[in-house]
Amino acid sequence: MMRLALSALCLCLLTGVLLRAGLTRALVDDLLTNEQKRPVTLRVWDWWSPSANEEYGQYFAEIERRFEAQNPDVDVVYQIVPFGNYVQKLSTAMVGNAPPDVFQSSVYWAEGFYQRGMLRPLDDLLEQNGHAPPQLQVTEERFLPSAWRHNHGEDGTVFGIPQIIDAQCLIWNLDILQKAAQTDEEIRALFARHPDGRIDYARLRFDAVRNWDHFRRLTQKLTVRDESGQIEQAGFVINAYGGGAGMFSPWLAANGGRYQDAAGTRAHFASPQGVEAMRFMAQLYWEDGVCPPFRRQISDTELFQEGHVASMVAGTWSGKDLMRNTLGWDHFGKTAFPPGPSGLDVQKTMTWGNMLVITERCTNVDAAWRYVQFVCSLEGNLIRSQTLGYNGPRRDFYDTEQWQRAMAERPYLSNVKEICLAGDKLRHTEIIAVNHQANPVIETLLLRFPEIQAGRGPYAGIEEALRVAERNVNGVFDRYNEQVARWQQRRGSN
Amino acid sequence: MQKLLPYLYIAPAFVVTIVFSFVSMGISLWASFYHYDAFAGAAAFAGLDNYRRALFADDSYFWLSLRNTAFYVAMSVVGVVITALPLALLCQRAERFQALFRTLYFLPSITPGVVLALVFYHLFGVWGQLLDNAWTALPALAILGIWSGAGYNMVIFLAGLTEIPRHFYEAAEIDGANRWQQFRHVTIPLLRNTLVFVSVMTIIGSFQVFTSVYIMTQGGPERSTEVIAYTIFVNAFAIAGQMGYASALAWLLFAVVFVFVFIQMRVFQSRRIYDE
Amino acid sequence: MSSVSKRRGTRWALVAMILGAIVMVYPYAFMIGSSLKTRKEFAEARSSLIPPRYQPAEVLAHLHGEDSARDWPGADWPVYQNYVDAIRYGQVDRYLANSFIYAVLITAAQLFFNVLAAYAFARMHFAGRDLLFTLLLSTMMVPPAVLLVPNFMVVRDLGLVDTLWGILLPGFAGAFGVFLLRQAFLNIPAELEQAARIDGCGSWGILLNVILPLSKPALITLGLFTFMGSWNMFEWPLVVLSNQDYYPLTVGLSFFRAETSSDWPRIFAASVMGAAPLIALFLLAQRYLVGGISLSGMKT
Repeated sequence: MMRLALSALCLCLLTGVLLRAGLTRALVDDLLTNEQKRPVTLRVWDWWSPSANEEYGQYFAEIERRFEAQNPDVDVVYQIVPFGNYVQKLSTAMVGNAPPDVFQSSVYWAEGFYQRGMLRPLDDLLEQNGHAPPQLQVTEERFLPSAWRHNHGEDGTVFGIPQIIDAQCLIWNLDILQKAAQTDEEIRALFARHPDGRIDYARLRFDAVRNWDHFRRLTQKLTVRDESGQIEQAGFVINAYGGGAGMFSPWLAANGGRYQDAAGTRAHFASPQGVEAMRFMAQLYWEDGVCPPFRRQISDTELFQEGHVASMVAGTWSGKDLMRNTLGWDHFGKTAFPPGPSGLDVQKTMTWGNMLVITERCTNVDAAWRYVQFVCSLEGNLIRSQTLGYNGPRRDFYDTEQWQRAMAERPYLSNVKEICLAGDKLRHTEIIAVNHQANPVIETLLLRFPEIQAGRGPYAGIEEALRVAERNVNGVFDRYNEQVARWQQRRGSN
Repeated sequence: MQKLLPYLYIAPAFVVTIVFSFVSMGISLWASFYHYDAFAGAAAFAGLDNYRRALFADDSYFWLSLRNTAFYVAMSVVGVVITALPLALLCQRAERFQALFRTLYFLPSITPGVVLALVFYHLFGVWGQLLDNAWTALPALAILGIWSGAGYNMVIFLAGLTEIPRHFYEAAEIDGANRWQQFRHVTIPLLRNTLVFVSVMTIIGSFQVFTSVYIMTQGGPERSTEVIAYTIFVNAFAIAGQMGYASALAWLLFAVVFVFVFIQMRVFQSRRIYDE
Repeated sequence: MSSVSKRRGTRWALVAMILGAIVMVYPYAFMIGSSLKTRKEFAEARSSLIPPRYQPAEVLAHLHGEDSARDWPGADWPVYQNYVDAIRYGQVDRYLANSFIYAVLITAAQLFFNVLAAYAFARMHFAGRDLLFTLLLSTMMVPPAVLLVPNFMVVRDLGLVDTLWGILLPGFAGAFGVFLLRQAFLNIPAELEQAARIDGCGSWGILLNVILPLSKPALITLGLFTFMGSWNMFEWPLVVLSNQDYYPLTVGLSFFRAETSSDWPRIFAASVMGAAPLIALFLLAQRYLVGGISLSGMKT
């Protein structure tokens, strides 16, 4: 009896395993669905993961449903790869058995992938665009210039179509700000006003923060300590661990500097502007005391969601995810970065337009291009706005009623377009290698600023540290450029 | 046919084992003299460039990661021995509950390293932010290594202890030796083989440390946990065109390990002769 | 030694071992406790082992109408919610199934191929036997950390990247297994084999009827070690596999973590499900396993 029960259990387990394993998936799918098999399978990669956020699942389901309805011959299969593993997974998948046909590429990698020979140039497809129905046509004029500048090489070859536009921004907790505004004129002035002159506590002015000193003063006012001196509520939060260029470069841009030159061959962050930006951040933490203690395990987003900090750096895309994680809280607002002492007197940030690309190994370019056209069409933009709360890279997107409605329902969206347009082009060559060289140095500067100031640290000063990092990053660029030259030479000889 | 049979028997195991060790090392030796990309393959002959860069360049982290690895290995070996051996002695005395303790202490050995790393990532935060500064991050990783290896090695020591005949202790007791003297003059010498085995296995195992670094620290803070396996992984798979360089790193590592094993074997051999 | 002091010693040993056992079990309690929390609870009460909404004090406060964790957003979640979500959105069940299949296939292959080789090395005479055996053993000198990149290159050249063969093949045999089994086979008296031969057994028959039944402990040891090793393998599938459908649990979990930057309760639910099967297997087979470890320790 016992034995029988045991074998039955084993059998059940085995069936379960076979039903779910990747190995037998195709077989099971064939058995369970009697749907007619579609002739073309399109493999699409993305890092927007439903396991992190169900809304991404809804988004992909909606895109798949509508696209497959319009294209009965194509079966779209999604695969999610985490952002941090993308480069590694792609370079191995491209020599493997199941390479993606289409994938979303971050601007961090797109040009590198193209130079490495992984992406298919899209110029011929763009030329034949006229045959497509107007709503699916892809042309440069339909996109914001801030988005259509990461997707082509120096020779003008287009290798990607923008599907999103994003920028770094400052996100503010409006609960905290509104409370402080009751007694503080300067904080009250951050808020926008209704047409009738009343203060609009749901919206911040795009250029609410005037300059770095202003930002410092604001965050000091918003920092609350208990009797023992522990921070109960912080004005700002800095993530010291591995943040690197991502958190540093918008401040650098606001101070009139650049992380690297436009061609991607020289690093520029050890400039006087860079030193100033780095010092400003370290001082916010160490001298002005407006940040909670550096903690590896608690991300700045978590602290912000819990309402412990008044402001943090995030992407303009962020918003609906915060609402999801807080189960509905949406009382926050976004601004650009205030100009630094060496910057021009304008609000700045870094802007990027992540894109869809078609791989060199794609077997059905026609289907892939149809997919790209659809996802990058106005309809695709609106689906993203609907399910994910994102704004789009297309000009016509901002004229739609749906976008106006979204801005009315979720006021934190109100500055998003302006912030995106205020940004410099985000460009990073070989981001992983660059981060591998530069991040530990930036980490050291943030973690040991007092020691370094006192002359006891591993570097003589901020400038020397950044110079070391810059030299090593230039080493990365030199090696990479040689590598690109070799690839081009080989492609030329083939 | 009968003559060929043995070769047929050993062929699959032999081929697989040799291909995925010596043959692959051979291929990577070749690749280490090239600029090689995981996707694009070999691009150009590099001569000794990859080795030169690994050994001498300012932005090479070969020596740094080797040093970090060595510290990690040293902490792990010492930690494992000074936890597992006392645990075994205690467990031996726990009599009836021995089996229960053995089970509990063995749990980490059968839990995937990824799971342990995820749990300890937070535990190290709760216990005083051990992963947050350069002084404690590597010891914290070693603590995880020791914690997860203690039970396994305890079982090995237990087996070694039960091998020691009782009459040695009885004789020592008659000679008036106290507990410590018994431990020092009976247990330790007779446990020497087990001690060597445990240390060697721990050295080999902790040399490979990757999962905990990959999940918890990504080499930080301030490069204090960048171990050799992580450096090789990043260069080979995450950076364009650096697989040749990563192959050179692997070969240098192999050379270091080889020298180390060679010395170790000589030392243990001479000790044995001296003992007998 | 008097029996009183001996008993006292035993008592101290027990106390120390219990303290040690708490250190061993605490991380598991932390993992399970965290997997039952809501995101809010994990953020606010990271170190508590029981989710605040189930703590007696909070329940009482709630009953008295006071402010309590039972009123936090998400407090109405069922206790198993994270497990459901980990499967529904993180397909942990698929990763589990994959890990299971890989572990079974690798274990079966290891046993099969290693038995063949070990038998030949132990019982057959052929030219170059000792040389080949030494060659085989010397592969153990090369540590896996060194082999990651080289092995990837081989698999790449064979065109097996991102395939089942690519992930399984390198694990199909191993010098350690051949060594362990050969030792076991050598301990079997040759007379038994001769008797079987007289009864008309061929080398297959001898292997099946004499050798294997008599070396059960070694086989089980090797099988369990291989199973554990392949269940835990991480770095190799991480570099060889790109197809999400094929990820084993370890890679799936690490990606889960990379993707889900703040949903730790869900990650821990996935972790519990990842750790449980092997622990269950261990409880069933621990007699052999512990014996096997002792066996491997003694062979030095």
